[in-house]
Amino acid sequence: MKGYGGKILYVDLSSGEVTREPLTEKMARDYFGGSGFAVKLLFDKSTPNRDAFDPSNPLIIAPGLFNGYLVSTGGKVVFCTKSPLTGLMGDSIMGGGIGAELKHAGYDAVVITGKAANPCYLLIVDDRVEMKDANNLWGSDVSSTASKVRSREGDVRVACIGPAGENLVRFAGIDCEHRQSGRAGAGAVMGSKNLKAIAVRGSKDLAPHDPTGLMQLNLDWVDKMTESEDYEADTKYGTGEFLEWINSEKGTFPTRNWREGVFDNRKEIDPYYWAPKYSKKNKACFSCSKPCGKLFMIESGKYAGLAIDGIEYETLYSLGGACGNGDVESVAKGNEICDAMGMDTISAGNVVAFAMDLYENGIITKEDTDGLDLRFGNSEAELALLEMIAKREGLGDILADGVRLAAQKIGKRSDKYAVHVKGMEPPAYDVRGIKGMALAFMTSTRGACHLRTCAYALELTGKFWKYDNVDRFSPEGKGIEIKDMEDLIVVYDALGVCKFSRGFFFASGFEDLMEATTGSSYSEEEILRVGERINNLKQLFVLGEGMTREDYVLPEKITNMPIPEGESKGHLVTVEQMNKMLADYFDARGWDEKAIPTGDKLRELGLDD
Amino acid sequence: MVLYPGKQLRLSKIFLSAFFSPTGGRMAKAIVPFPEICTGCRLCEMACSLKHEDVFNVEKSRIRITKIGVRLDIPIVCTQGNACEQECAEVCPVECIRVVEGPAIEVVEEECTGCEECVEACPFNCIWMKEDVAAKCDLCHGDPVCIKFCPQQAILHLEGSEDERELKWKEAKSLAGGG
Repeated sequence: MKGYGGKILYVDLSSGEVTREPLTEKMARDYFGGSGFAVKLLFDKSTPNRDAFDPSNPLIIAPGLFNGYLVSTGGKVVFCTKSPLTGLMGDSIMGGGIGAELKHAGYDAVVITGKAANPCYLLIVDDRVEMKDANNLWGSDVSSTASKVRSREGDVRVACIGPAGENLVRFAGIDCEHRQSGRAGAGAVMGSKNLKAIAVRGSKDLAPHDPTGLMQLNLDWVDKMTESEDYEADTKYGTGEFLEWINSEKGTFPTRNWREGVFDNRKEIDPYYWAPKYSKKNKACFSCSKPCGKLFMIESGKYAGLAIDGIEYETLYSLGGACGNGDVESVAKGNEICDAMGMDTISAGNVVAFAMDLYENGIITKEDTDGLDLRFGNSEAELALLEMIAKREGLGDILADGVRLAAQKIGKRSDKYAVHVKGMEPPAYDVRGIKGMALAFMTSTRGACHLRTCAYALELTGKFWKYDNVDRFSPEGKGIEIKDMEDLIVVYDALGVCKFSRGFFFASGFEDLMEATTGSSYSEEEILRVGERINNLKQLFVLGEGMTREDYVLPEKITNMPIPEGESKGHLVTVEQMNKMLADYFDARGWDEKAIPTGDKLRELGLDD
Repeated sequence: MVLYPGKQLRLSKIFLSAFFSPTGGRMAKAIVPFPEICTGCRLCEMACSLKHEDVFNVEKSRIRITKIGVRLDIPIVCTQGNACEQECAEVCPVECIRVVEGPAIEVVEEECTGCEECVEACPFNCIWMKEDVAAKCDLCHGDPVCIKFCPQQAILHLEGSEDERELKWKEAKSLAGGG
């Protein structure tokens, strides 16, 4: 099959058994690759209602269809498992080079189950698959783990966890070449399996169906991308380019644990301030001609010598605005701690912000914080707490379980300050002023997430794709809009294309690329149908894990406390609006009022077996 | 601060000084890599192997990106005699590394015996074994495809006078953003 490696690899870490199954044409046609394969395999191979740290929980790695095929921004690979943070779908996508390497080794997905008796790393070199001893890697940070594995195994691509993953921090991520699968805690699942790293090298040819056609199409896409109006600003200032806009013109930059929607002390964390000063060059994911990453280096002062790939927009929020921290150097330091330890910056910043909120409201005191003065904006305390979380020390041990579980443990009505949906801490969009995103937070199968719809851009600008004149303050029409966006965006995840290029491809742009790559032709309608199928299968998975209609709920801060000032002043999402949007959404999806897909819908999508 | 430590620094310095030396290098045309700008995306590797072999395989690419840590992304590609003495051609026992279509010297695959002497001889490790024959950059016979996929112009196909080259380099640096 053109476009594919051809095999699915199964590794049982308990027994050491390695098996391979051929990829079927039906699976390729129905799910494309990447997230599609990962969700299908997770649904088929996992045992429902087991703990995420149970050895039977599969960890699946699946490169997107376009991985390795020269498609610009098409280098994304998914890590997918049952999330220890939410107990639901734990799919997280990164731009590391390991995806293409897997395809060159002949695999379209790797399914890892079981638990190794001792720390190990998995080595995959074409047909050779081995478990190798990782005792002396255990405890190492992410960078040194990768370089130690490479010094032993040569030119391999390494995905690994840091100490946070080993310590089962529920939002620990996986790192490959300074790209992270951060959200939902796949790193902790890796740690629970005693699996420190996965190292891959592939040497097989990937032969596209139409080499000449593919070359030309890709050249056209690169030109289109580099000539687009946003290209220069996006690559110069990265994902945080619109921070000032979203903050001042829209009033939707959640600040101090969602007390406010405007951050007064934002000057330094705006990339227009820091990029000229600290960015040494642009960094790209594998296969990307739109390098949004920055090599951020601090040359003098107390953080001298710091070098990270960042700071991304979400991190400017979570370690910056959410904690009331306007000092960009300390935000970078926090970013470095999270990266080295292997933690999701979004969740990590959110749990610190949550603790700061509790501290300022007297629910926790210095006795609980090991003496840390956890006021908003105290960057030293923030950095110290990040270390404590990664090492599960003191208060950090409680916070390492995420805000939902931490609030349960702390009690004293602390849940009032816990901002999460389905256990997932939110990204940097104050959805009180972006109603469609509020719905998207609830409908996402991994909880509060911006990347399952990317509807923030549509809502904030009012137009995207086939939508125009969208009113972000109105709950009207959001059901079908969010359903459409989910079905479109999941196609990006299946094909392995970055959502930072979503303004170019849409579904129709994929038709020719897919044909040149695989030789099979797909219409726009068929492509979106695959998206709908994947989303329905995700829903079946989370329902099987015990999610109910009651989990579709927004935190109190969003339903009860209006944004106090700025361009979204006075806005919140009432329970009534919440329920109206959800009813519209279930209706658009063809699901019943309990969020269960109807038999007709499943038959239509071929999911009825 | 040293951005490019040790061996890599030396390599990129030799590379660049050869291209921007007072004598302006020896040949007019070559691909010049700028590690300060390279984002590490590796689109050039994929484009190269697709153009030459109709498949994707970095082991068949004539340009390769070495990534070291978070800081270093180094494009490695033949200097076409600008920074070397064309050792590959000199050591080839069957003289199969030579100008055919031009402008670059290339490996005539049908004649290559696969002895690997050129691989040993190249001072910059810019010639590789592609299965049982050697492979090196042939500048795509004048229109290198890797350049077209480089969004930041971290690899440039340079020709013309030294002033013109320097201008191009400055343009490329300004594209890279930041300091």
